[in-house]
Amino acid sequence: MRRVVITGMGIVSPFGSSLDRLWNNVVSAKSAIGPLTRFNTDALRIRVAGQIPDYQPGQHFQTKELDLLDRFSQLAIVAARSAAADSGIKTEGAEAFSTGASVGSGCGGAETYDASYYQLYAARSPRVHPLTIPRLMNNAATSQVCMYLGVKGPSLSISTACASATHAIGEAFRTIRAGAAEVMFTGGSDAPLTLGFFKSWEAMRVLASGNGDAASACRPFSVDREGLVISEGAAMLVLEEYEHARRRGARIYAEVLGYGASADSSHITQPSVEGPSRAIELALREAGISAGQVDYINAHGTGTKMNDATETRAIRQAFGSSAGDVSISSTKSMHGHLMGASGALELVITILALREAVVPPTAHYRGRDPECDLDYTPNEARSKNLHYALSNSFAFGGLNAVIAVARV
Amino acid sequence: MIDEDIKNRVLAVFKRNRRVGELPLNMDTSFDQLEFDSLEVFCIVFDLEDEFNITIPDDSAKTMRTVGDVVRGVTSALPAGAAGATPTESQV
Repeated sequence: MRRVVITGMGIVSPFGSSLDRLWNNVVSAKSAIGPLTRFNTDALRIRVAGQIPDYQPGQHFQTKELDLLDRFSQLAIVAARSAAADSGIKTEGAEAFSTGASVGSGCGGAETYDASYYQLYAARSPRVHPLTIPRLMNNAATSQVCMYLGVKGPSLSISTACASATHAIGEAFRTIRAGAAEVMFTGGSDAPLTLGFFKSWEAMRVLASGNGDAASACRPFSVDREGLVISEGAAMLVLEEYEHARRRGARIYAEVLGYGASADSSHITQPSVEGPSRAIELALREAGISAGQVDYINAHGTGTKMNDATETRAIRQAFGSSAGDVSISSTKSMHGHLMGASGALELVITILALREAVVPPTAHYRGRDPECDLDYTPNEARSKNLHYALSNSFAFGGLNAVIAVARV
Repeated sequence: MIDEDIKNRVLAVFKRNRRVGELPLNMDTSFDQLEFDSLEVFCIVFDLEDEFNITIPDDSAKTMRTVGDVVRGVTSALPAGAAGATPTESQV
């Protein structure tokens, strides 16, 4: 059976674009969440977000290129370039045809949608820009990654809300394992910080207010949690067939062992226990490991009342008697919810955790909720020999994805 | 009959908005010479619609091949006698 390994990672995140900086912040329980400043927030009740601190489009693209690139495509390209450089992979000649891209995005060109609707409905402009469609289409990020990196193999976009990136990575894993590609650029990107998007989320009443202290607004599994925090960013990974990676002497971060996907098929927003639990079980089955062997779970852990309690029950159901032994954390407590990109950033953190033998904490944890009664690694990172780990992503709409990885 | 004012405003939009750089621009300059693809043609048409506050019809926009075609397309989209029409906000 063809083995699939991870040989490169690139990010543009609320913690910036450096993997070292990401890791140092995460193990120190630092927060990248702060006041939302991207646009005028007078019309909002909720004014906290995870914004990318150091991203200047002009440093990465010429003005003419930016005409065609919504922010979500820009972030995907920049993260993919970093992952390619990190991996040392070259997409040239015949390699281009055996290299694909699989990119998840929950929101697509949100900024372009918002700007064009503003032009039409508020500014009363009789027309919108001719590049509106190529900028906002959900597959723009994948297509642009292919063009900028010279990728010509099997490529697709996946949009399963908050699970987009994890599904995208899972499908990339399957594509390589099935022999349809040797290398896949995969991950997710979302740039949803717009007034229209925030108002829509506000109306669902699942956002943390951050009143008093924006940095600690997101408190997954904590008894006083009050919701999720929306963030922006992209994370891309290079997945590669093991022998291909070995032949070129690539550094191998970790091995992808399994992928589980399922649909709740029950409610458009309320998650079930059975769906996520089954996704975990399927990932473990494909990985060929038992629940008792899993050392760490990077939880979906959004910080909403509903998700965290249901995810806890799903882990209990899938893990049975070993549920109490596994270390769990939600790193969303620090970087917020990157929507369709979150699963990719969280897999990057999971892989760094395997390498560093440290479980990242769930930050801002203030007390035990009887409905969340597992080991969430509260507030402080923990040294632990880690071999097997899971990364969970459960989407609105009940679409679930879980990736199982191992240290190599 | 080409109105010099319209022509000069069109050329200015080309230079300002489409970043054609130092390329010599005249009525015979073709989109091929400017290395414009179809998207860039529609972008310049969009910019000119804004500049002159006009609507250029699809059949006119789709058949433009040269800068001269653009100047004529803009001229025919302007109301009769509107040469040198009121400047838009972007000019003020």
